[in-house]
Amino acid sequence: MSTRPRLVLIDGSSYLFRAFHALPPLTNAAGEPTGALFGVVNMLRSTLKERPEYAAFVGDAPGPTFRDALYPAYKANRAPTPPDLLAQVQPMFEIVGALGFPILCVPGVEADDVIGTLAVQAERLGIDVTISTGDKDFAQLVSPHVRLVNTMTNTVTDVDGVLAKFGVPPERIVDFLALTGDAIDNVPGVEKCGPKTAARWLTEYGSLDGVIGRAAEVGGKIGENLRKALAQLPLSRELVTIKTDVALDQGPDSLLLRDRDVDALRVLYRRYEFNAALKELDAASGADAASAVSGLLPVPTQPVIAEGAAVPGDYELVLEPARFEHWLQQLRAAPLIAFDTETTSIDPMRAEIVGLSFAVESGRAAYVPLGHDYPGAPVQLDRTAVLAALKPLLEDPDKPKLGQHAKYDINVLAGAGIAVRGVTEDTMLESYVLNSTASRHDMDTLAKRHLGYTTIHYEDVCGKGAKQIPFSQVDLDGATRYAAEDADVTLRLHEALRPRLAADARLEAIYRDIEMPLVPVLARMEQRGVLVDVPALRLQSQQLARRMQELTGQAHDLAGHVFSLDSPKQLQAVLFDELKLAAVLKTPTGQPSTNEEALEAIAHEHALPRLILEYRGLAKLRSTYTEKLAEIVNPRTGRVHTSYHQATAATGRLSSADPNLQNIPVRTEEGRRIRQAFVAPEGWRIVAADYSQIELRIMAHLSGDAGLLAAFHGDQDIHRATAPRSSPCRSPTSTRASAARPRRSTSV
Amino acid sequence: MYGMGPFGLARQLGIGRGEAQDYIARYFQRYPGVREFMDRVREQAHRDGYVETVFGRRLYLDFINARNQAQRAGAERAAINAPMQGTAADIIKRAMIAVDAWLIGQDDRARMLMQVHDELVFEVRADAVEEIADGVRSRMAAAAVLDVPLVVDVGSGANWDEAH
Repeated sequence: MSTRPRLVLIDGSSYLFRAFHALPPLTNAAGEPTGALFGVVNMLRSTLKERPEYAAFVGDAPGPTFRDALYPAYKANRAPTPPDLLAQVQPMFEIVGALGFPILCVPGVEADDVIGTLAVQAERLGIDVTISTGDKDFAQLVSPHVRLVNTMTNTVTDVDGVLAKFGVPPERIVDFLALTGDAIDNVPGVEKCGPKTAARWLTEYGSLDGVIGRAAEVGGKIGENLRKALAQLPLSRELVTIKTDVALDQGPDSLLLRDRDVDALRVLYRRYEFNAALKELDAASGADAASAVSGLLPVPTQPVIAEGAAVPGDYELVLEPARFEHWLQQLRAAPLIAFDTETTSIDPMRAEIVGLSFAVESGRAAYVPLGHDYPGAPVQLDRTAVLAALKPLLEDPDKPKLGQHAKYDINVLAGAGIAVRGVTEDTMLESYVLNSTASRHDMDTLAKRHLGYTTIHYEDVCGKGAKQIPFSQVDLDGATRYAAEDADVTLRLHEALRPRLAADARLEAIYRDIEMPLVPVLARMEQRGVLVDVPALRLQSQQLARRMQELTGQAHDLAGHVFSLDSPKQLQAVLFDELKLAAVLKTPTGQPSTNEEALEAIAHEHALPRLILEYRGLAKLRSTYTEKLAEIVNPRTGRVHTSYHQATAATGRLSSADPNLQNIPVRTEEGRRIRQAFVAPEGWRIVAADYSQIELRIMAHLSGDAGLLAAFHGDQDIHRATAPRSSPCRSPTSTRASAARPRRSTSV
Repeated sequence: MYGMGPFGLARQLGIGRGEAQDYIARYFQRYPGVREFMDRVREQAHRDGYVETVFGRRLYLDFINARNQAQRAGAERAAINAPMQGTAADIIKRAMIAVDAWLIGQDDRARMLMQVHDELVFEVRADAVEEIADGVRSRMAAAAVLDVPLVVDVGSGANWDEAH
């Protein structure tokens, strides 16, 4: 199941136009036209039922766009907008806003360009995108994570869909449109060049540039037409290319769907006589009220935002001993301390403390800088003295503390000799336990979602990319705004999330009895790290490289010439052109695929595919483990410190990174060799304790199936009874590699 | 593996689709309660929009009532797997908390190092291996009381592979 959040981008103009032309000219009692509006409202309501995390209704701003400047005749064929349609524009925006959709109209560019930009940005953020439109031009934006939906016909277009419909992949759509032209937008193409001709040319010559370069070879009348259009084609391509780099004030992750404004909607629905929508509205708000009382229904996706939660607080920069002393007293007296550290590294095992922030009541927080060292930085309090003064407080298990992803801060402070205890609350885990799939659980996302508050982002104060500066270089005023806000917002978030958890005893128990007590346990494991045998890893790396070399030689022999096994293009030529193996799968661009699945499919036909698969497996092991593990050994401890992600897997399982332990192959020889590099120190042993068939046992418990329960009570291997006899993975001796036990590969 | 269907199972096991189909049929015939459980969970997921683990952890299934068939099928598979995966997660987390509490102050002879899948990995002073292995085994086995016993395999060696 995809756990990626989803952004729905609605092509507003297309919606309204299509609804206007598709629906009868309805009017309300007052004689106002409502047909298009009715269509739009219904399409939007169906979008809302899918409950995307993010959404935007994108409209065209009045005035010319860059395309008019490029080509004055652009869209000159469009008839003026009918007055009956125009009259519905304003009410449409009112309803869209009341439904909770963020609305974007950016002057100077078309809605298409805004949608294109947001789609590309969202994809980079790991958000799946659905573009709701009827406009075929958007096919150029389709990718594995971007698809189109036409709510009128209820069709979804993905990469394969584009290929099926146009005969070219998404990245060739602009070339395709330039060749065919667009009568509606008055974009000239090649005369008489229809979709079939355009697709044929592009398949044959690769791209529009290819077609232009070889225009002389095209015969007949159509060839003449093509040559006549040559000068115009690049401009046409530019006109049909949707921009994906428009400067926007809002990123995709700020486009959270808001709560709908029930009162405003009621007024609007009444006025335009949308009775079904009105009925649904009343039924739903009745249910909302009921669930608030009984607490029986699932947590609403859109939390109610407390008044005042969205205003920045009062933040103090602490440079004077007297002020620090004052804050220390407040911390001692506080029932709950929100705290946060600012450091030099995201790796807590290598991070140095730059400053600490605290909050004890919502809206008020302090930042205590300790290590800002830019030229001209004001004198800061003495690091040793501050840490020594805080140590008893931070180590006191009876002084409750709150953090956002506090494990990181616990590890950082451990590096400074402070063993933090008494962390009783963590907003990241509160959010994760409440709904593991609702959103990401980082502070910026949570603040936006639960407080409607836009936090200052790390990039805002430190810059990004190559220009990013370390936090120690950030000026103290900016650092205070950022760091104190972290502590303050954490406290406010806790105030918003705590009552929701408290309302559900079972979830509260997961949080209180499992997730929170696990935090210090994981922190200790991370701090300890594990010893790895670096020389053995290097040796393995060399062995892998040698084996890869052998395979390369064999591959060259099989092909009859030298080629690069790492180049999909060369491999394609060898497998499909030279050896003439069946191209079972195609890439999104229509090329024969050389991915794992494609190679598996032809592995019985020839020795080369199998050999390539082995080669790739070894290359992957080498880059992710044998090379990587040696690199990430901490120079201070000589160990590898995996970090555990406690709020990532939707199921509740832990995951790990640097290294990702889950991905070490479970059953292969190479997997074994990697595990061999995790060693015990002299005089010590590694002990591994593994639950046997735990998911099957849980199934027995949950289902209460008598046969299954009996099987486990008798302690026999239940799969021996039913496992397929001919399974190649299953041998009588390999109890661990039982084929009927693919538990680790089924993921949610 | 539950809810995977013949196609997924065939791929997982590297067997033919017909054979997988046959396996599933035999499995359900032998353990009819499993099929009933799966139906129940699917129903609950459609009704509530979420499923739960034995301990009450919740997994929301955003696409369980999606109109898109593929999305809905994916959510149903997730619904069936989540109570098992999630309960396994709850159990090993409870075990970690119990084992960690027991080992506090024994850092000079046993340290919990890693958690991966259903496995906990420790480094243990050579002379304490047996005692620590017993203590870990009993605490892991007691991390949940189910209608079937929890069984823990413990191994030791100079490296993780030997212990695994």
